[in-house]
Amino acid sequence: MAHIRIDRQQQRFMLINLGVGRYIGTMSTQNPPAIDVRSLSKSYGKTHAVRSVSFVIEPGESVALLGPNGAGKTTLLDMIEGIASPTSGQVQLFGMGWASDAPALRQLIGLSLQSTAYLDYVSIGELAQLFATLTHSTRQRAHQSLEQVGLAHLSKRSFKALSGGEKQRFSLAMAVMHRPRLLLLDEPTTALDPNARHDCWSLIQGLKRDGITVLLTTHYMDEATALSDRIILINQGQLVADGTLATLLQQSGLTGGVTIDTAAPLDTLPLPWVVAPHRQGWLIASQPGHPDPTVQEVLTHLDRLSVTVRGVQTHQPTLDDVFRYLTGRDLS
Amino acid sequence: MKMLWALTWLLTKRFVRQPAVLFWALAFPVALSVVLGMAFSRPPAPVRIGVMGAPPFQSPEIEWVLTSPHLLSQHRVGGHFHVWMSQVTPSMQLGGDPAHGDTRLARLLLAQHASATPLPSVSVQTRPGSRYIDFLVPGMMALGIMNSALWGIGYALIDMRTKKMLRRLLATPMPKSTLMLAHFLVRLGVGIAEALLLLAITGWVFHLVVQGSVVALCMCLFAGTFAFSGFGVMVGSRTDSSVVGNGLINAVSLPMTICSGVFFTYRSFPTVVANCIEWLPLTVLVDALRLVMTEPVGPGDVMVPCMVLMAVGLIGHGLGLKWFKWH
Repeated sequence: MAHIRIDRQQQRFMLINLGVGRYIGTMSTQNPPAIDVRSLSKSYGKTHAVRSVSFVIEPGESVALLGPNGAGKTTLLDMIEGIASPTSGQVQLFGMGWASDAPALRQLIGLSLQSTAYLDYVSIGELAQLFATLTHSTRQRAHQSLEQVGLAHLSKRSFKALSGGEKQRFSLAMAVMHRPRLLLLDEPTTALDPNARHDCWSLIQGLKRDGITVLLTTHYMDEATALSDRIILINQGQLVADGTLATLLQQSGLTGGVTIDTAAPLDTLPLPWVVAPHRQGWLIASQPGHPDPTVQEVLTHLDRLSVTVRGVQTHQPTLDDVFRYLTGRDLS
Repeated sequence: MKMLWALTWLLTKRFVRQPAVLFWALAFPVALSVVLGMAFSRPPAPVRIGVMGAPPFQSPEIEWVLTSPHLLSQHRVGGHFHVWMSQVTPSMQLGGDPAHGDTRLARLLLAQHASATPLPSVSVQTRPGSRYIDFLVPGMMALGIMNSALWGIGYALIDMRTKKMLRRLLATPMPKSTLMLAHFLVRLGVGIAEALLLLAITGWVFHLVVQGSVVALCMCLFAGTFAFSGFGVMVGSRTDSSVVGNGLINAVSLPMTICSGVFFTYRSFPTVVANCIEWLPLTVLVDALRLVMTEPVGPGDVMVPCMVLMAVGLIGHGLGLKWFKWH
């Protein structure tokens, strides 16, 4: 048990250091990073919503900010957006800060929020014209944005009359109307059906190809995997890990494994593998640098320890496993 | 400027496309004024006097009702008349309750008729403006301005905040002052439209005319809208709950609606209370509008109340913008 705990701690520090390393590594670059977050903290009374988070996102990168509900994702996004002031630390976007360059920054960022209700009793075409004016774009660009998300034919419809997926697409159209350099997406596909989610994903992937820097918050690991080049995991306001999916899997040591359905507390037994709680019971994986355990090996060991096994499955580790491994919590 | 125009135009279109809002903002005050005006602004009816036998004379101000000694009590209790003549000749003898206005009026009319000496000629200077409708319309205009600003700005801001529309607007380069100014301009338009509609309908039905200067009227409408827009911005500056917003707006508007002399004069309150009510923003607006509507006054006569209202508006907007939060 003790050696497993030490391994987890080591893994966690390794992953956090990886993120800080990226931050230190970009300090000397000529082009300022799209997002530069330094020791950012936010407290509401005695509640610490975000605790000393640091990371850097380069122009053109697509990054998912992943964490369970209440992890601090939205607070972090609020500070990056400039609508919440940090208790300590600082945020710079393209080398500029909110305190001195707010108007210029607003022209550089696009924002799409989860469940925004736009003004009712006006058509989405009229709303698009309004946002074009507010962001110094043209009427033509407003129409193009609606075309881009496949809503031009619905331009006379009110926002309220759109389906969930259409609403989210409209929100994206408004966010990219003025061709921003940074797109902030707060849970862009929450509460959407699978088809609508995939439509949104296609749009965001298209924007990525256009070179827009994307930072999205989500608690869907498949969304993070599909849309981002890099993943930042946060939990209870702290940065837990920062890296590509492959790096995170590799660094966590969860390269493969076996899930065991049993009533026995496996993490208290002397097993030569990493053991982590899992939806189906327990996940048994190898230590870093060691081959994955086979089903036969695991069952033989458990049999020797007189553990009754109700079910067994081979398992390919996911981001969810990495998160659970690091925090003991589920993402969703 | 482009931003302001675009937002004002969109908010105006949104306003005119909501039938329920149009009804409550425009049709309801007019309907209420007409109904109350009809109920309380009828021309004075002739005094009905019960008479036993032939009427002693004819007068357009007196309606004689034939009665008899045994029917007198029945007619009186039935409301046919409150005053009666029990004897016509040789002298007229009037009966009635001195506490009832008809008794006093009948006595004066009969005394005038019976007087051997004709009354000295009296020249009458006609000055309309004493009917209840003349009292009511300025109050309804002011009430409309207050409600329009508080609900149309205060509640609208809370609603936009609750639905994250404000947060979305924050991500654009539009300053918050543009948002407030757009709301103010829409409410000014609504206030002018409501005033014009009210004047047109009451002018047609009750022959009500503005006695004072139109410029003075416009000054009052502008200053009143500015003052109550300030209240609206303050009320809607931070709250993100429609229930709290409802309570706040009612807390501001209800006391003024009742006390500020919209439906009845606040001079009926004890002097100390009336002197305080006099300085409530709605009272200042009602009094200024009533002055313009019923007296031949010019812009200079409403300068002080307008400046008071502008000062209230400046404070309201200033505090509202200072406290304002987008999310």
